[in-house]
Amino acid sequence: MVTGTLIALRYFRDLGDITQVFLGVKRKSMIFAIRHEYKLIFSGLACVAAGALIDFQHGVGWGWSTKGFLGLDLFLLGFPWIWLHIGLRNQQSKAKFYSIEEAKKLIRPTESVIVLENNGEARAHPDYYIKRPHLAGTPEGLGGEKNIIITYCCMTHLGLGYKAEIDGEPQDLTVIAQIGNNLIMRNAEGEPIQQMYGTRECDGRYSDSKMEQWPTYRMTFRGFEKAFPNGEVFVNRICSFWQNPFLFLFDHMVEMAFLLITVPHHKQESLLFNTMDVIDDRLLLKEQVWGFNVGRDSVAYTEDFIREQNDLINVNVGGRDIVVAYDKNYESVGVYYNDSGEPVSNIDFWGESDRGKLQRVENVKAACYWCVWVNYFPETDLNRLAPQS
Amino acid sequence: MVFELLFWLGLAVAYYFSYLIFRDLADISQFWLQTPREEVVKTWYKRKSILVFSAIGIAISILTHIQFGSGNYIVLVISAVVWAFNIFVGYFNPGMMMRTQQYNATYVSIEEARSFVTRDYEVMVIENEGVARAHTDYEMWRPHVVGNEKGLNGENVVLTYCAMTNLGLAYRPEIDNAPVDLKVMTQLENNLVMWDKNTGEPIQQMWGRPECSGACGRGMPAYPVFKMPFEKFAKAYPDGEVFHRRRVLVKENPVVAIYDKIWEATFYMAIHRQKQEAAPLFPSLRHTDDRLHTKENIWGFHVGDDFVCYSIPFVQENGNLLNVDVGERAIIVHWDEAYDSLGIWYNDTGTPVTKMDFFGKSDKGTHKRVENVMAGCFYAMWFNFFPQTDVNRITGKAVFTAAA
Repeated sequence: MVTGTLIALRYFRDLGDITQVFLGVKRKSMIFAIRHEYKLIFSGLACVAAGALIDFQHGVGWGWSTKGFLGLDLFLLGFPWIWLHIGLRNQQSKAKFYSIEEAKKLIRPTESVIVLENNGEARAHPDYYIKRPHLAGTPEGLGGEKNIIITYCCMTHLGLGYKAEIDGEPQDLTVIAQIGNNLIMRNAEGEPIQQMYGTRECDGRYSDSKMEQWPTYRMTFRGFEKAFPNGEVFVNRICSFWQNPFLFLFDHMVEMAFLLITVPHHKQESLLFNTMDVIDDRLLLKEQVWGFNVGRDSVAYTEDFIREQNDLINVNVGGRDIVVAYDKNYESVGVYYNDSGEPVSNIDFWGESDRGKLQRVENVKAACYWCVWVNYFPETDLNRLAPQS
Repeated sequence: MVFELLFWLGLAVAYYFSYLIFRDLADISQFWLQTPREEVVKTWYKRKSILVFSAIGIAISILTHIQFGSGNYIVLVISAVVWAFNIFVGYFNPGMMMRTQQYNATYVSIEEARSFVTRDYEVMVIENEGVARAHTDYEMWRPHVVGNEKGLNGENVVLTYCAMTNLGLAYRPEIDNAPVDLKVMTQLENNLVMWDKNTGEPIQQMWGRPECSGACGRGMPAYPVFKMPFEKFAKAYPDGEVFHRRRVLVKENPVVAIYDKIWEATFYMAIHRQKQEAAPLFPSLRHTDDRLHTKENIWGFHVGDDFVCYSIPFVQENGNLLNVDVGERAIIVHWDEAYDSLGIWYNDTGTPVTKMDFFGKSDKGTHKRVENVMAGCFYAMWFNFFPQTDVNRITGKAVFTAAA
């Protein structure tokens, strides 16, 4: 019974997700729990069942202790599983997208949306709707390309597009945990994948075997409408009571728990889950940055800084020329590779510049919280102007 | 037979009167049931008698059942639960979940406030001779009315807030020099209704006057409110105060703490929908209009019977400064870039101004803020209450004459 309870406690602490508000957890321990989730659950259950059976057969327990432990352990093992696998069920291949006309009833024109685009097909994801499912995509993919999905972590304030394949193998992902205020997913083989890196834990941060990032940017909803009149919008509304009363109540409860944690997280300077390895005071913790890297050289920009530079910065990152620009017309920050050999003096939202059409940098983390960016890219430069020496 | 009849009669009375209380006073009931304003007010005035009648009804049923075995036990239990729910949600809950802090609000320094307000977060500001107070909307969601005995630099001013309208309005809580003790009653047409504990009168936030005094009656004097980002507030008023709502901790009172958390989460969901969705959360608006987006933030005000509202993009597109006539009085509408704040000022100098700053100094002199500005209010609610409004006026002429 004691062994079962210890296993249950460990599972509860490591993968309870919101339990991190009051229970500290180490990365190593969490990674172990992610890899061995079902072994933990079943060994815990087996121990508890064995203890309970011995008591009920031979009457060796003390008073109510067996029933008490049984109830406690079932809660400790059941809560994280239900929370993660039902509460945070993802929509990697079954997301529903709506037309702009329908979405306009639900989203303010000035709301910031996270955009993925391919061959003129575009999808917008408002933070509010993507926060619970975390992953959204469809079987047909985007613009003819399969497995393009959005991954989202609301503790990081980050939506990131990925081609969910590693070495050509499609990845079936589960939302499993967060550490350092960033989402961890798990693939079908049971290997953790940190959202910020897109690599498997066993391969390490710099591995070439990874999910390729898909250029992701933010813009206002009205900007999206202007740029992509035929675009689609991700909306995830809770079903009505009459459709499914159980799901209606359950999803509302999860939503409420989520909001109680995330709304203060967005409005306050302090961190609710203080699991950071690196704290850097160059900016406030929750300041939003557009961070990206070329090789091992990483840089982050704030929108204010870009605006102060007349909305255009020519810079060198990791030996490659980059243009960072703000487009007033579409209210969007864009980061582009500039392989023309010359600085550009104007560029629009589509990447059309006086030096030709430029491609978006694929790994931009748009409007991500500084504290999380710097935790995962501690070497980062901030608001770089001059080319790197 | 008589007692059997009494049992069922008692239930009918209990159901009817408790239903009235739920329908008209429960606030959230308006998702499903919209009652005309007059009915709500009538129920409000008679709420104590209605409560007593419904209690007598349920008591008769319980007594006849216990004493004479009348009626049906299951029906009685279900009815008692429904009755208790209606009475709790309608009669007690609004005041309990929205506990006003008219006399005992806590204000902290800017330094302390940094732990709960982010840099760019918009705050609602009231100011009196350099002494200023900032309020974030999320701290105001629950209390709705805040102030303290000290007053704003000695001036008795309270801020009232309605999340459904996205509107913070400051008032001197007095009518004809009689003090007004503000409590929360409900919302009507997506705007807060308070009540005065001293007189029992409902007071619609946007009108600021007691329901009994009619459309032109006397109300609480308005006090100017303006909005700006928190960091700009800190720059303008380094000694400013920031309202902080103290949360009840689980260890202090677990029942209240959990009750508060549940309502807090419910508020988050409701307010999100109200901010984002084009339709009002409560389908109870009498007047609608499409000159602006329904949830566009507007700065509305009036001089006499002349009502005008402005949106920030419009003011910015017009060079950040407008000299306009409203109610035959010259008004300055000014977007201040240094403090990211929209100011609306009286201009009694007789000539238009060409330069203006955040503190009310222009090239023609010093100006006073228009006291009745509704800063950042949702357009749909503004229009509902003041359908005669002009939109984005330039020098006395309406700019939008047709639907945009």
